[in-house]
Amino acid sequence: MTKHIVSIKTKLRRLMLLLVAIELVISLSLHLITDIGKVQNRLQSQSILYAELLSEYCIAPMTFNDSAAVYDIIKKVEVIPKLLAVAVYTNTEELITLYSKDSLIVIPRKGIENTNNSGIFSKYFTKTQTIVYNNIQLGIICLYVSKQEIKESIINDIRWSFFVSIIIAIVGIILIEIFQRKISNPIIDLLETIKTISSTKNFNIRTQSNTNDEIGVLAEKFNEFIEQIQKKQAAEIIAKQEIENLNKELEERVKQRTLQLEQSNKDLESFAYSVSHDLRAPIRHIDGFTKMLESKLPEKNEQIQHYIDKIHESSKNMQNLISDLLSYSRIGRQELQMDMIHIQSVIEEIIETYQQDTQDRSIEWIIHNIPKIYGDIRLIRLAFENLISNAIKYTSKKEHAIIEIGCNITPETIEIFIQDNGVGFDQTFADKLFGVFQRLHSDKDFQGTGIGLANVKRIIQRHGGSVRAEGKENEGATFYVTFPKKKK
Amino acid sequence: MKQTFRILLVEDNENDIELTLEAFTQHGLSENIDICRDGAEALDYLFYKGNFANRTIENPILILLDNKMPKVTGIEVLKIIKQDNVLKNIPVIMLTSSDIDKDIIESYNLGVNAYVVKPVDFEEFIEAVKTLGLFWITLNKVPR
Amino acid sequence: MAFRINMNSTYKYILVLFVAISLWQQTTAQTQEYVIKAVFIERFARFIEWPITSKVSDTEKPFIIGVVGINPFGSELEKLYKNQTIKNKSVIIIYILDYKQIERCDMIYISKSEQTKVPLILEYCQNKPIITISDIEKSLEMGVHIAMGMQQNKVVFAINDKAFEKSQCKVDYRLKQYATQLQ
Repeated sequence: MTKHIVSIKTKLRRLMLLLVAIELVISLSLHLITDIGKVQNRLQSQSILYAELLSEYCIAPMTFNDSAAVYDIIKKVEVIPKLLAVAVYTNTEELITLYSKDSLIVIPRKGIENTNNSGIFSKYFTKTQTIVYNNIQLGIICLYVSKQEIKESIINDIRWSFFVSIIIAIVGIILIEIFQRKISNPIIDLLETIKTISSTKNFNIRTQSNTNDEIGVLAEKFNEFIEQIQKKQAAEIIAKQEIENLNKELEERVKQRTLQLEQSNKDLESFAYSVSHDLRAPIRHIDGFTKMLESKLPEKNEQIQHYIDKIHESSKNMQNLISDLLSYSRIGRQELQMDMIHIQSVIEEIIETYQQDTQDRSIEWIIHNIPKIYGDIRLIRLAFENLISNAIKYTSKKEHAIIEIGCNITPETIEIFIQDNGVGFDQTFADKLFGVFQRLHSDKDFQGTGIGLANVKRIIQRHGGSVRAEGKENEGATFYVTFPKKKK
Repeated sequence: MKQTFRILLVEDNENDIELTLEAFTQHGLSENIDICRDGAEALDYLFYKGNFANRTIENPILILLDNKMPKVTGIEVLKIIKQDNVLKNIPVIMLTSSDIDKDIIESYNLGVNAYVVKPVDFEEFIEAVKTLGLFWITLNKVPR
Repeated sequence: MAFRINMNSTYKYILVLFVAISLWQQTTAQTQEYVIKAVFIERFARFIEWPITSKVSDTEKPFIIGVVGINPFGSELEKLYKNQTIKNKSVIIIYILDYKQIERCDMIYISKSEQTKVPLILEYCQNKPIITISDIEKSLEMGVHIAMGMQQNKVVFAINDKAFEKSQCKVDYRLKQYATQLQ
C-alpha cells in the first residue's frame, strides 16, 4: 500500500479519536455540571427535609429541656448514611447534645459550624435549622451532611462517559475501516490505472467509476481526459504517418530527380568525353596531313603556302574552341569543394605566372587587401586567371598598363573588382560580354574565343555570386565579381 | 644503337597510324614499328597468340598505347601488361586525345611510364614522340 | 454560753442536723420537683388548643389556671407567669377550695391532697374546655387530661386522648409523641 493511502486511514482515525475525545469531554462536562447540580440540590433538599423533620421531633423534648430525649431522636440518623452527625444547640449556640458517626468531624461546643457549600471536595456540609414552635425558638439543630454522594455521582459520570466513549471509538474504528476502504479502493484503482498507462503508454485503458462521490467524478473525468489524450495520440500518429508518407514521397522524388540529374550528368560526361576525343581526332588529322602536304610541296609556292597556313590556323582554332567548350561544360558539372580561400595570395600567384609573358611590358599592379572568400579554389583560380589574363591582354596596346585589384565589402557580400586602363568596351554591349563565344572585339585586335568571361560568370554563379562589368571605350574596364559572405 | 628492336604501336585510327609512322620515318625508325589495330590484337602480339603465334620471340622495347580502342581499351591492355612479370617492365606510353583526369590518374596508378595527350599540332606530336622514343630507346635497357 | 459539749449532745446535734438536712433535701427535692412540674404545666399549655368557642379565644380575658387542693408549687407558678403569656393572654393563678370555682379556669391542677376527690372534680370539668393536670396516681385512668409522675427521678407525664376529645380541646401530636405512654 502506498504511503498516502495509509495516512488517509490514519487521518480518519485521528479525526475519529479527536471527535471521541471531544464528545467525551463535552458529554462528561455537561453530565458533571448537571449531575453535580442535581445531586447538590437533592442533597440540599434532603438535608432540609431531615433537618426539619428532626427539628419537629425535637420540639417537644426541647420544650421540656429533655436532652436525653433529644439525643434519642437525633440518634435515629444512624440509619441515614448521608448524615454524618447531628448537633443540637441552645439559642445561644451552646451545644446541648450531639450524635456523630465520624470521629474525625470536629463539632464545636460553642458556636455553630456553618459550612454550607465549601467546595466540591470537602467531606460534608452543614445544614442548620432552628427548632421553633409557635414562634418560639427553642434551639438550633445542625446536620452534618456527607458530600460523598457528589463524589460518587462524579465517578459514576466519568465511568459512564468513558464506557460510552469506548463503545463509540470501537464502532468508529469499524466504520472507518469500512468507509476508508470504500474511499481508498477507487483511489487505488485509479492509481493502478495511471501506473499502467504511464508504463505501457497504452491510452486505451480506462478506470472504473462506480462511486457516486467526488472520487467517482474524478475517475470519470480522468477517463475523459485519457480519452482525449488517446484521441490526440491517434491524431498524432496519423499526422506522423502522413509526414512520413510525405517524406517518403519527397525522398522518392528527390531520388528520382537525383537519378535524373546523375543520368544527365553522366550523359553530359560521356558527351564531353566524346567531344574531347572524337572531335579532336579529325582535327588532328587535318593538321597532320596539312603539315605533310606542306612538306611534300615541290617548290615554294606562296599561294599554296598561304592556303596551307589558313587550314592550319583554322584547325588550331577548332581545337581551341573545343577545349574551351569542354572546360566550360566541366565547370558546370564539377562538384564544388568549398573552403575559405585566401584569394589575395591566389591573385598574386596568378600574376606571378604571367610575369614571364609580360616581362617586356610595363604593367603597374595595384593590389589591395582582400578578405578571404568561401569557394572552390580550383574554379575560383580559373575565374581569376581569366579576368587577370583579360586585363593583361586588353592593356597590351597601352604603353603603361595599370591594373588595380581591390574589393568593396558590404554586410552581405564581398565584391572584388579588377580595373584596367586598357582598351575598354562600349557599355551598351556590356551584357554581351559574358555570353558564350561572345566578343566585343575582333580576333584581329585581340585573340580569344570569347569563352573566358562566360566561364567566369558560370563559376561565380555556381558560388551564388554575380558578375558585372563597366567600361568605356579606350578608357579601360572594370570587372566586378560579387561573392556572398559565408553565413556562420 | 640497336637496329633489331621493335616498337609496338597500338592504334585504331588509320590517319593517326599514318601520321605517327610519318613522324617515326623522319627519324628513320619506320622499319622498327609493329602495329596492332586494337587492344585484343595487341595482347595476341604480346602473348604470341592468334596471328602472332609464330612471331619471333622478342619483346618490344617500347609500347605506344592509344586508350580509346574497340574491343579492349588501352587501359585494359595496360592492366594486363603490368600484371605480367615479363611484360611489365616494358615502358608504356599512353597516347590519347583525352585529358580527362580519371584516365590520367588511372594509368599512372597502373604504372604507365608516360601519358601523352595527342596535340593537334603535328610538329609538337613529332617532337613528343621523338623525345619519348629516343629517351626510352637510348637510355633504357629492355629485358628480352 | 459555755462550750462544754456533751458527747451525747453532739451526736444528737448531728443526728438532728442529718434529719434536718435530709428533710430539707427532701423538701428541696420536693420543691425542685414542683418547680419542674410548674414549668411543665406552662409548657403543656403551649401544646394545647382550646376550642374557639371557649373564653380562651378572647385575648382580653386572662388565662386562668386553678390549683385545686393544697398548693405544692409555692410561688413558682406566679414566678413563671409573671412575664409569660398563654395564648397571648395574661395568666392568673387562682387557688381553689370551692369546686365551684373550677369552671372559671381554663386549666386546673389537681393537687395530691384531693386524691380521693378526683372524680368529683372531673365532674365539674365535664363538657367544659378545662384541662386537667394532676400528679395523682392513676388519675389519668380516672379521666385527667395530663398526668405527671416521677420516673427515675425525672418528671414524666402521660396524656389521656379521650379526655381531650371530651373537652373538645386539641393537643399537639408532638406533646403526645413526647409523652410517656404508661403511668
